[in-house]
Amino acid sequence: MNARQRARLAFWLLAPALTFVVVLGAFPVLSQFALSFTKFNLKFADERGFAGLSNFAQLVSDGVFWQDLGHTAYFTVVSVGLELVLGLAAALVLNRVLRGRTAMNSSLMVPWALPTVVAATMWSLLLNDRIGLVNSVLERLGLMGEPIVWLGPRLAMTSVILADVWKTTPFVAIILLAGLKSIPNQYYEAAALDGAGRWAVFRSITLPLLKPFIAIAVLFRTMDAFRVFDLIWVLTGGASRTETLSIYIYRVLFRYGDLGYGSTMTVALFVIVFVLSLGLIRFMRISGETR
Amino acid sequence: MRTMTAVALCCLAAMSLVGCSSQESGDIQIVFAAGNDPSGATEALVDEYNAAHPGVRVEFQAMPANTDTQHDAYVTYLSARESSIDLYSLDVIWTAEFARAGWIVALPEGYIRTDEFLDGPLASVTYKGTLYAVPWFTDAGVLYYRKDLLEEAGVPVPETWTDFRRACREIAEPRGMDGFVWQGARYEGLVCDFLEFLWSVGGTLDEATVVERPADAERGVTEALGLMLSFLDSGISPAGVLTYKEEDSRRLFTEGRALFLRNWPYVWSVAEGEGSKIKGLAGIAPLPHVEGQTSYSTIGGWNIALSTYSEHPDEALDFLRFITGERSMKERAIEGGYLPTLRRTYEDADVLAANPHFASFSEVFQNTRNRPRSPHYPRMSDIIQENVHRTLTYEIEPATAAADMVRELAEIMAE
Repeated sequence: MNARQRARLAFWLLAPALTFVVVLGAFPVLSQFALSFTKFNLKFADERGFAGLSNFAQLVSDGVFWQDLGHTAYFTVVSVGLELVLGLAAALVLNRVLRGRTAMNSSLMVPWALPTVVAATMWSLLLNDRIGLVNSVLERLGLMGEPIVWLGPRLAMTSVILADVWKTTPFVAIILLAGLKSIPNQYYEAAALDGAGRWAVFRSITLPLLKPFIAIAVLFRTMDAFRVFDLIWVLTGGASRTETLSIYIYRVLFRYGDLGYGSTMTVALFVIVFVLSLGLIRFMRISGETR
Repeated sequence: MRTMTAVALCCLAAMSLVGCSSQESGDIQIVFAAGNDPSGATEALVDEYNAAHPGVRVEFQAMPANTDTQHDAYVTYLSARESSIDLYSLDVIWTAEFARAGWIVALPEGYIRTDEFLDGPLASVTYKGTLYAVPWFTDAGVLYYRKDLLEEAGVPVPETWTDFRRACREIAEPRGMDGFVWQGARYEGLVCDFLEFLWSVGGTLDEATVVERPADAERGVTEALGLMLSFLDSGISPAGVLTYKEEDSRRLFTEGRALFLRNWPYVWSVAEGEGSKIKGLAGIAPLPHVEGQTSYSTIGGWNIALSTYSEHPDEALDFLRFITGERSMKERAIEGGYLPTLRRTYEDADVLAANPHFASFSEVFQNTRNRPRSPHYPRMSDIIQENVHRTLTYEIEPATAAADMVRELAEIMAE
């Protein structure tokens, strides 16, 4: 087979996958870009027209957008941070467990396996101020005077973050556990011979070798957290300063039917997540010279 | 995002299902999409209609019970000019939106006898003076109270907010109960509750007032917000009420932990049903008002409209007349407890025998009002929700919220 034939074969082998990428990936993104320059509301379809940059001008001066971007960033940083710390701790513990590992692993995975909507509905019942389990436990332990309004103005964001941490820490833990398993034992044996302490071992062996796994976990979680929708939608509906960009975009696109401005915000969210991911990839050096 | 994908997939699935089944026979196929009816009464009526009309096959397509999900599914279908669904059941707040978009058609002149319908539901099917749908069943906010506790204290059912607050202080407080629970979460239900409070202080958000006399509108809104804050500040309503939807507040009431509840008529059968701790102890009344004013209930409920893209409008209209006719309404009232929109069904002996409480509702239904009727309603609703909720969570002052709300609503109304 000469080079040309090989290239042709490669093309045909790639074609199905490429078609999928174009149809399901590139096409929607590009049409979203195109829509962002139009004035187009589903319910006022007769007023459709070219809008130039006016949607983007609206975006710049839209207080809600920037406010929700702030909520989204806060949610992402705090929840991913907590998930990373707790997930790492869980992975380190699980890596040591010798007996009953399967049982522990599978019980850890339960929150992650639950559909988000189900988990969120469950949390909203648990956190109800009057008849929720959380408050009734606190009350019985004598730790609570007035009932705590978990989803109220003061604690809403904290509660939402805790529910997210509960739900997705297992995901981080499993990825990091896989990472821990991949570290060859001889490094640890060598360190033991050299008389390294636990902290030194952790810092000089475990952490550096785990870095690519941490990077993957953080990347996945950041992208997910930045687009969070269902959990918050069910718990607060976006009230009490918990509205994220996805919820705002949903309102504009689906409730208002405003495809033009909604697409503009989608494009903005796409760019933000894209740049963020690129930044993370560079920072963590996942690609290229990993080792 | 995942939810959106799910919705989109469901839509596709639904469309493909409809597409398949219509191929089956030579009959004319009419598809009627509406929220699921757990009582089975609607399906029984459809079967009955089909049996009496050879050559036409009506199919009842049950939609998700969640209103917003239904709305978004319909918007997706209709903006794609989907022709497989002929009749849609629409929430009362959607008429203007769907009519303006050109998705539903004006009913033929004289199609229904308007004088036979309750005023509130009838107004909800009207857009710019034209009828676009037939009222199917209705809903209105009512005040539930603990009959036993009021009687024990010798307190009459309060008609003014002053008496209402006193009753809460004297009866609920000493018992460690909540005085008054309602729907304070930021969602559509908050708009319904807020408007009732607004009307009860003599305020209004109708277009003429908002556009021409914004200062009057603002004054009413400020007063209504003050009233709502007074429930929270005095502890009559628990702080958690700001996270409650219908079922959260209903649960507290039927658990016997609240003296008063603002909710929809459905609560009655729950309060009288299995598992209720207040069986036989609840009463129904119109909501209280400020001295010298009248209280009004927000109208809810559903209408049925004919799709612009229907391929068999005549057959669809014939079925529409049947399903919104007196017999259907009676049947659905008796079997499913749905509140009819035809006046005379409230005097029907069979209906009242099955639903003795309908008699008490008829007083409430004397004074009902609609939420703003505008094709921009979703945006207006969000403006109201946001400003009310932020005031109740002490983020902004009532006067600021009122000014913002009225200004933003006026901008939309001017569009």
